[in-house]
Amino acid sequence: MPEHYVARNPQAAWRVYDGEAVILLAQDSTLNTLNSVGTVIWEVADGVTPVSAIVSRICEEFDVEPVDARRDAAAFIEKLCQRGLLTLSETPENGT
Amino acid sequence: MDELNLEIAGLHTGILTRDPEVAGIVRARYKGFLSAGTPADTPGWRIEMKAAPSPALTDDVVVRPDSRPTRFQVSRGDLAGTVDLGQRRGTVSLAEPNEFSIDSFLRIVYSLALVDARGLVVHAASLIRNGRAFLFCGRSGSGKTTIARLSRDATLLSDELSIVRITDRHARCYGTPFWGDLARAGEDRAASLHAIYFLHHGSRHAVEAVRPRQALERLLPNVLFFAREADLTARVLGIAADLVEAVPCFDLSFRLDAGFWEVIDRA
Repeated sequence: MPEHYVARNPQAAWRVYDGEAVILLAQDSTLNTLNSVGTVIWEVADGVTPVSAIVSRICEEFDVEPVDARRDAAAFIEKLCQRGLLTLSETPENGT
Repeated sequence: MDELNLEIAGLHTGILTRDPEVAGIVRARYKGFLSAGTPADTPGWRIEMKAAPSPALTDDVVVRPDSRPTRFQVSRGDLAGTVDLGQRRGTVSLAEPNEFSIDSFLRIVYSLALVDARGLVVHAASLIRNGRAFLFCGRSGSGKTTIARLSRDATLLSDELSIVRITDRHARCYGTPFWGDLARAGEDRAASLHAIYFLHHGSRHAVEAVRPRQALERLLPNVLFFAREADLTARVLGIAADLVEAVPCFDLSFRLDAGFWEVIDRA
């Protein structure tokens, strides 16, 4: 199964309070707030960390099974991609 | 050319115009905020205003980056102009000189210019009471003007658009000439911002503290800001976040009498 990488939209400004992110998107001024699991994904979404590593971190931090973490992460990433907050790629951002 | 000098929230702005009608409108509309001029050691803004047909076709405000990195083009059906944050200069052509168009352009200029001064223009009524400033945020219909009308023992800073600046975790709220239904300018005064309230109509007066995250979610939709540019957006978010972290924030439910001040004083 190919590895995937997620990257935050560089047009997004954000701040984290008590483990939950508030995100403001420049292009349309939409405001999004994320729960604690979503915030972990958001913070790690640097375009070079593979999704598999993000899932492992969720398993460690929230004590969930890998199959559940993988499913929830995929659904969350898809939702944020639809909102224009994340992009998903099969190659890391530096192209290596 | 006439030059009229304004000082709003510590920001000096010279309005330059050859049009006597424009000069007359500015002089009358902003009479409480006219100043002798910009001090030599203070960076001020200069805005040229003229009457000219406007090419804009939309009633919506459009602010988009220009070819220069710090310059924005501003347009609406009744005006077209530029705002250069680097040069601190603005130009505007008014389809028909009137205080509504001039005020709209100045509101946009201040919303952009104040970011450098760590300030925000906020949809909020603001008042000084017992030497402390109170900010009451909310969109149209939330009760900003009502709060102002019910506060006869307070000094009005604005019933519609307030200006807050924050430095070193200390926030100050400033009077503005940007009015709402009250149709009266605020006083040209400032005070330390004591608390921020998010307005809700209710059957009784009640205040409830809100944490910074919730406060930021409530404050941001009330910040007047038009640019769709990443760096400016990040700076606006940063100023708003610093504000809600430095100043206590509350939800305020209120009914139509001045009793809300009692629950504010007790909180």
